[in-house]
Amino acid sequence: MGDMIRVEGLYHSYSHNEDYSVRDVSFSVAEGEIFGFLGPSGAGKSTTQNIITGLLPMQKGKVEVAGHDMRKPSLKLYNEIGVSFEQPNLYAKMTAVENLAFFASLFDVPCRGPMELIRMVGLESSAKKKCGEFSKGMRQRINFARSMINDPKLWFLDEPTSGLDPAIAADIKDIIKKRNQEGVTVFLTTHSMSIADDLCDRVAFIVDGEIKLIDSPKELKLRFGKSFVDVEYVLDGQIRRQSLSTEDEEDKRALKDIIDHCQIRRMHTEEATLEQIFIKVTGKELIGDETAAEHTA
Amino acid sequence: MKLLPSIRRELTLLSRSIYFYSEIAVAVICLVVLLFVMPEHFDARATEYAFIDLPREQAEAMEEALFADAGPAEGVTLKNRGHEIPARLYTTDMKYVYVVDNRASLSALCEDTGHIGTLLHEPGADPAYEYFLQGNETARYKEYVTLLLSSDFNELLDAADKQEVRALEENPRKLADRQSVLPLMLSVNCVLMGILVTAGYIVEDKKTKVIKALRVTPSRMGVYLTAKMSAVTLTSLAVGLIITAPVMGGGANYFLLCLIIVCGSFFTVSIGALLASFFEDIGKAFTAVFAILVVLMIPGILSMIAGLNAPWVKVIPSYYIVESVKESLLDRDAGYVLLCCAGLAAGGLILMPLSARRYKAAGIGVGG
Ligand SMILES: Nc1ncnc2c1ncn2[C@@H]1O[C@H](COP(=O)(O)OP(=O)(O)O)[C@@H](O)[C@H]1O
Ligand SMILES: [Mg+2]
Repeated sequence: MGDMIRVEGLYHSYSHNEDYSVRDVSFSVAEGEIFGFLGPSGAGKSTTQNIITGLLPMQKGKVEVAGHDMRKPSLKLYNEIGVSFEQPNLYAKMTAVENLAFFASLFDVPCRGPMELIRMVGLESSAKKKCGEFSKGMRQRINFARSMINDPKLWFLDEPTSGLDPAIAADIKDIIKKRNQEGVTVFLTTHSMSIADDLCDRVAFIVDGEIKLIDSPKELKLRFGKSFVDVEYVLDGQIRRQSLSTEDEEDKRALKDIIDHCQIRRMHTEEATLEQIFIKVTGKELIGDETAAEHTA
Repeated sequence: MKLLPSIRRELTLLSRSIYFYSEIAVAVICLVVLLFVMPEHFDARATEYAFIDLPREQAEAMEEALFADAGPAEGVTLKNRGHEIPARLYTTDMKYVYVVDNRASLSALCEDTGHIGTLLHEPGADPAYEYFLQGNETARYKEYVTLLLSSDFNELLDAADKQEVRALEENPRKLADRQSVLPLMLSVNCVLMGILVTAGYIVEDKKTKVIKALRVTPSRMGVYLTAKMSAVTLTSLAVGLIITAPVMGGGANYFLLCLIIVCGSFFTVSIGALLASFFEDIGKAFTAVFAILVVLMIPGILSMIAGLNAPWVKVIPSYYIVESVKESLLDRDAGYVLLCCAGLAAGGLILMPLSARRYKAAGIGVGG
């Protein structure tokens, strides 16, 4: 299997100096894979996607996308890839159908029908409304639909579900999964643990412009799993719950403390969640609405 | 062909935008002003009053001799301070002269209307003429009057007859007064549409970030700009014809006119596109847009001031739009118009790839 994306030693500075937003990033994405860039807001995920898709000029490093050298990308490349952006960008004065039909007219390859795509993202009742009247979530869904109009074999998705309500996010996830089963390679960025966990074959942890680790969620969990103890105990008459690492010295001391001084209600080893692993590896939290929502839910 | 759908998109967008309708509204207002407010010819003729202080028969003979060229008199009644004053109106190329029958009427009319009056005395009397001036006449005018009175009138007439008159312009065909406003209006239309509307549009596209979405399609940036330009140019052409056709009728060379509007707009649109590449919102672009607008409108405005032909206006590209519009309206110097069109088109062709490069290289519309 060939690589659809190959990135080596990529740097980018918006101010054209040593202040890098992306620093020495290297990775490759194999054909048919879903590769996730996971990191908190401001980590450099969108910047990386923008460079790989040719929107930002290449400053330093090497990027190859579907066989095209991104230093001098050919326009033909865009017939093969689909790109969905974090911020919806549609013609506000055109309807959803008009927007999609227009974009379809710009490709040299056969495109999917606008209505089919609109139905897929559940907006058929608003198909004839101007996009300027849409809510942000609706525009984001049209944006997502637009990114697959040319049936791309390589699909870039920047935060595909952020800000969408859970039911719709689940639909979007299903669409991505289905397209992937049909052979589409996916590069996605997210700060959502569930997206990374449910969708990605491999994830890269990115913080402050640097990749800290690349592996499959399964492998990560095996590697870091069983090393957490989930303990529920009573302290000062209140029930508390805590996850503690069995390797971290401080956690081990805390666990011993709890066992010594508190009444234990329940205790079992647990497979580490991706988020715990992320915090452990990067020392940073993945703060985001969605992750917070998932945990309170 | 991706250009056609792009042009269609731009026209769709244009037809849904406030700019388009304000532009059409301005065109209609211009047309209404031209057709209904502005006279076809500005009437520069002065009004004067006269009284010939001679016995009745001599006065009549004198009057007939004086106004032999003016055609028959028109009997009119002037109203002044509640009195009705009968008068005879003579209309010459230069003025309207009301001849009244007594001195009191003459002085009352002059005093109340602010026009000049002349009283002609008996031959041999001193003075032979009496002028009722207003006091605000120019020194030059007073000098003329004095000169006329102090020299022998017949000598002056002889001298005038001998004076050789040579036309500075070989072909003195001129636009009627109403039509002479068209070069100003059409050039301003080109400039406004080209710069303000184009910049407004592109900046809006930058704000909604659609440019970013266009850049991940296999369509060239040049196609985007060309489509935008074509849509604006077509509107500019439509507006130009809306204003011109009713005023000019069949007289103009419409082929040349369309050509110069298209080339002129192409040029101004490419300036607008380049300008827009520097700004993220129209508010910030305003100072630059306004300054360039003003400069480009100067030649049109100067063209309205007869006799003002400063050589430095030729540095401003829109001068060639104004002059070419004039030539096309008069159906005169086609060679000159074609040359101007070529020049403006060349200018646009130089500027356009420059903006296309800026939109692409600088990652414009990507940030945020
Ligand atoms: N257009 C821009 N100009 C300057 N700095 C930018 C721009 N876009 C992003 N940045 C900076 O680059 C860093 C990475 O941003 P981004 O790639 O958007 O992160 P993410 O997508 O992971 O949230 C941030 O510090 C951000 O402030
Ligand atoms: Mg981002």
